[in-house]
Amino acid sequence: MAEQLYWEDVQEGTEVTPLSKIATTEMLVRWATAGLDFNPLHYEDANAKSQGQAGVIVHGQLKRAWLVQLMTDWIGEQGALKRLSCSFRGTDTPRGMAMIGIPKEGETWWCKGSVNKKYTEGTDHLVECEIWVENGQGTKTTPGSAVAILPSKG
Amino acid sequence: MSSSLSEAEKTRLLEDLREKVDKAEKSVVIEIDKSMVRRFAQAIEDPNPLWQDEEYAKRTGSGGILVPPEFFCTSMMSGGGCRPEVPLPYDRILDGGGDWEFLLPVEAGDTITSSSKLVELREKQGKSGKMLFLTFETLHKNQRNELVAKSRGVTINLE
Amino acid sequence: MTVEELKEKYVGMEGESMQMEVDNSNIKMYAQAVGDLNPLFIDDEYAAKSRYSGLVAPPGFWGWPSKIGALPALMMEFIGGIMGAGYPILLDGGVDMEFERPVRPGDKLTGTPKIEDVASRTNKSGKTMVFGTIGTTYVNQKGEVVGKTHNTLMCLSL
Repeated sequence: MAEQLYWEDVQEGTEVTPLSKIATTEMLVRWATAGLDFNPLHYEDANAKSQGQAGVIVHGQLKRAWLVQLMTDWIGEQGALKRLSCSFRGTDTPRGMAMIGIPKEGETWWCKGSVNKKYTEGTDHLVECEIWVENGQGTKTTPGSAVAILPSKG
Repeated sequence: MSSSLSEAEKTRLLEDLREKVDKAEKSVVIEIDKSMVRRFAQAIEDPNPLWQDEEYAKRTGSGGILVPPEFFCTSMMSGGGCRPEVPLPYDRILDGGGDWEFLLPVEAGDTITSSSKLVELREKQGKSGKMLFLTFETLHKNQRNELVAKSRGVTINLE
Repeated sequence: MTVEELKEKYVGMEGESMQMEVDNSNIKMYAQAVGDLNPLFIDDEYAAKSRYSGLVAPPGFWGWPSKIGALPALMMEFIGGIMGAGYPILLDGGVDMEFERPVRPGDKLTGTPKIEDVASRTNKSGKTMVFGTIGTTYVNQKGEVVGKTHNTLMCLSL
């Protein structure tokens, strides 16, 4: 795991360590089961098409969970995530599976972010970041923001 | 269906596989918690309150919700999840079914150790190529080392 | 119903509470579904030696989807109300979450949803989009707030 990040290590404009994700139909099945969300929009192409989509789409909340991981990975064990917001502006299409455990070739998504503001509140040292998920074409499908407490060196 | 492997590679894997009979084994430890049992019962639409309702299950004398016997028939408990990895020469894999014996009640909160072994390999010649039938035997014991279930299952590998 | 009428009818209404029991397995399933290999969420031994003294759930584990299956009747009625008013396509619009306390195996969480807003907007192609916002506060068995969400559902006409 990465070294612990400290409030003193970041400035406005510091990049959040990017996180890559590959959405697959298998991942969507796992997410549906983990959260008991069985909306067929996410597992049945025919249903997704009847709702105006090209095929099944990635659950918005799964992308939110990716963004939470973007932040928790970056702030480390001594950091604490306080707030996260995001909008599901663009839809994302998962890769299909070539066989068990092996996705087909396709796009890779990237979760990214940068520090907008660093400040203190009482004894807490905080950063506010702009974060987003971009698809394989570089389009920001899921823009958002996050606030986290970082440990301070004193 | 054409394989991604050459004939020589397939032959070598089959020879490796034959060596594994009575040798390949694996043990998996699974802590069964309430969410696992409830999720499983809901997935197979089994409304029996013994598997969902803690108060009800306790009234029958158990410490908590019981694990439905068919839980042991899942891939996680007696299938791919606990069987030893063995070389499979061909691309097509099918579940050939199995037999299960349920010996003692199991409750949410129990820890089950499943010890699985490849016990038999049968080879047949089918119309489109070779057919392999691999039999695995698994013993399931709880945290008190009591044998709670036994399973025997077949994996079919087709050319 | 018009958007104004939907707003009049629903904003301020509270739904029944939802209960969630947190287990080792549902935390790990969630982390595996996200593809998050952080050992705090999947490795009991590692987590025991961390500042959390045991396995914890990723922040937002308790958010939508709520792992409880059926939604409270009020939420079904609210979503059904908007869709039935001529906006049958339902999409998740986004979420705003606040994280207060870690959640651990053995916790029993209660979430009480409240309808916060109904708004509308016209998109570039002239279609009306209706947004319904539901706020939920999640409390653990000690009565401590673990987190809050504001979920925005987006409904579109065909």
